[in-house]
Amino acid sequence: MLNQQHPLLNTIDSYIEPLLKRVLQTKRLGVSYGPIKLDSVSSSCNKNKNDCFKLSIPYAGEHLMWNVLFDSQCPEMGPDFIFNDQNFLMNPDIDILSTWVPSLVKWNPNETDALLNVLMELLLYYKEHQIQLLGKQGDRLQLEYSTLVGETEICKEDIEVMMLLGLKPAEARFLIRISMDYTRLPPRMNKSQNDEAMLLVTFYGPDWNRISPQLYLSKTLEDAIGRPESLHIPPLPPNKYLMDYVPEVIKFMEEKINSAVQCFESRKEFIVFLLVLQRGSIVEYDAIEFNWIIILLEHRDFHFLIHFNLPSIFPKEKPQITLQSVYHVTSQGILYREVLDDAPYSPRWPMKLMVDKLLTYIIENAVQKFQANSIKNNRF
Amino acid sequence: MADGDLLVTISGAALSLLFYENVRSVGEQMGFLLGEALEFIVKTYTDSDNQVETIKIHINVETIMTCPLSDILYDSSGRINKEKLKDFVRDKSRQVIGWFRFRRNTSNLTPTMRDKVLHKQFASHFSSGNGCREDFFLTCLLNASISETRGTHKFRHVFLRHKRGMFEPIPLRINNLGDDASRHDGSDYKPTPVRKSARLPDGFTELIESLKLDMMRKSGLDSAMMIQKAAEQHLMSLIPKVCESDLEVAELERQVRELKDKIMGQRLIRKMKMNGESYERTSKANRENCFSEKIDSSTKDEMKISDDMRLQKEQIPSCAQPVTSNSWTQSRNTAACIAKSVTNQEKIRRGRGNLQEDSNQQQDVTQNSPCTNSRRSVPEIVTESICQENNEASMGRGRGRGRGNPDFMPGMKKGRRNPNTSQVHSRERSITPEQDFSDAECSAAVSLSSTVLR
Repeated sequence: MLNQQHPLLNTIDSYIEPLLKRVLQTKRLGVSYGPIKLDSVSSSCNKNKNDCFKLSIPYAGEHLMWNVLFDSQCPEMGPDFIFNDQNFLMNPDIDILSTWVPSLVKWNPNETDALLNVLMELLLYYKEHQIQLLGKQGDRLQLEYSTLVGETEICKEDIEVMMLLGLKPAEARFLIRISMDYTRLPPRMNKSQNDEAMLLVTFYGPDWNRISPQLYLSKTLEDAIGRPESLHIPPLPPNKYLMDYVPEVIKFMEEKINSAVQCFESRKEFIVFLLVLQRGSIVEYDAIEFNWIIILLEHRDFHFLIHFNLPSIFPKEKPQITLQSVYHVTSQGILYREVLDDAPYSPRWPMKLMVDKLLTYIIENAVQKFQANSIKNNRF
Repeated sequence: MADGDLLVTISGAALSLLFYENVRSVGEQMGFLLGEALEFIVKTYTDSDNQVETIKIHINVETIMTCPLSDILYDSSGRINKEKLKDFVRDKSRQVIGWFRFRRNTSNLTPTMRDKVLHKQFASHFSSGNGCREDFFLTCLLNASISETRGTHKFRHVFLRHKRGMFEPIPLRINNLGDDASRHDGSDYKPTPVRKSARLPDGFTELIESLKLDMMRKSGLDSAMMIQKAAEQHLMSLIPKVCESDLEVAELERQVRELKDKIMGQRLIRKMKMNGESYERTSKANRENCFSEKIDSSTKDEMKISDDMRLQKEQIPSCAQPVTSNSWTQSRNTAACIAKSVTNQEKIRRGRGNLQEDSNQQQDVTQNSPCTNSRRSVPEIVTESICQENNEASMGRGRGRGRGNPDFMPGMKKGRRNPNTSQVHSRERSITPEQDFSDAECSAAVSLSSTVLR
């Protein structure tokens, strides 16, 4: 399967292939959630099997491009590297390097994890390099980092720092993984990947006093609690420190999760009451996320469908009710339907009352009008 | 000191040797640059009669030394093995002024992580020995790439030195012939370096002295011819030695490679966790192979064929024969080719000495019939090469880079440099049929001056 995803993998020399495969299968290297990508391959000698390749490794919202150079002529020799960041390991010392990257010293090409271990160690070393750069950029950033690590629950492994001094203006980025209990979240369809939330805080401007926080959510988390743009995360004024701000964001996220859970429970309750009250007339309903239910009712020999679509922030927002005739077809050839806008609604009603009131309103007020409209709009 | 005062100088012969060695290697190649850092003091007078002294430093690369089994010098992290390095460099240690790394199919000439680590270690290792300053130690990065259509071969190189934590490029100047390696551009005076290690005169100087030329009586042409003849004789005398040592080196390299492949294969098999019996059989068989002095390819075939060992059957070919054998055959052919072309050349020269006007014509004739009546043929080499090739075809890689058992080192060091220089030249000349005398002198001189090492 992996070979199909990476057609380049087939061109890699056979002794490197398992090592590289292991790297590409790894879901996470460092904080950034995202796989490592194989970018381009080449051969150090003119053979048809390649032994040099470029990896794109996610780090602090950026992608590190690392050239990994093996040598097919010396399979027992470990990989060599060229980093896109020229400042990293600009003047490496063999002893320091050996302590940071022990897997390279005791390189064993027969071990499948060999390359992955080396990459992990190098990435850790890279992070350390960035933290050192951070320290050279004035007290503010250093203080932000040390307090964030020291004073909050956020651990070192959940932070990635990146100094982008080449940019204009220069930027300092903190990528912080918001780790919390996502298992409380209601079950979702298409839950193929894990839930992840990342806070990317960018410092720039004079004295690094311009700060812009951004929240990144994984796709599934977005589905559960909404897109980051609509979430309105708390603002980060320049005089506030990350050690205060990050817990605030965590609290904010927790509230969002709580409300998502509550909404889910309400939707479930609404549908449960409908199922109980109208158990003979259920056509179908969403049994996983409880987003919608369709029932078939009859009023004086007129049969019609009612679609209840429950918004994600139900009951704060009222459900969308659509009536659909089973007899009448519009000129487009579909069953005639009408959205019911003026149904009585209050989010404070208990669910049973809400269901009762809506059904009563539909039967007593809406159907006659809907029936008349259906006949009027009927194509035949 | 301004950067403009620091130069790398190299003779054309040394540069072509460097490129030649790289081109004929299968893949990556590394080696050392030998030479000397020369310091010149230039005194100039300003308009106000002030004497100003400027120091210029020219790092002169005299020759190179390839390291076919680079993996024995350092480990995966790039830590050098000082003992083995000493063994490898031996008495040349004082002349090492830099090292080079050649890579194929890369587009950029940036030092890799290991290059940087190695540079620092090499610099401190060799600078302590030869008194040359550490920040004048050179790294030469070379690469070769082929265009999409495979029509254009591009060779790039850069000389770098490590200064204040940075690698900075140094300009390269290719010297003209002669000993004026130190001459500054535009100056008629030949400055002498402040400090130059007292060494024996190089091969070319020795040759000229041995001729005891009388420039007053003889015409320039005759003198040139004499020099050329002497040079060629010298070259000829080197060829058998070169062939011999080259073949020896190649053979040893092949053995090293084979043994290494076996070790790799054995490791892989062990990793596969075969069932008890067959595992023991393989390891036993492998051990026997490893110890057998003369490697017999039939044992290998046997191993491959053994039918109860499906896994092994798959594993061994993949690790034991990863590369085609063309490099080996190529080098064998090179040896034969030298022999041919040199005998040719000599014939031409002889012809020219007798009948100078007709030399061009005769040259054409001999060019067309390369193998006929060569005065001194080297038949044993040719025949040997053919049968060796056949053996080789199924086995390992031949020369170029190797993977090394240190035990084989002393043999490999022998006479590496000489072969290459002479090969360069004999080849070069065999493709340029119309040589005038200056050219002849030039090539002879070049080839000799680059063998200075021995």
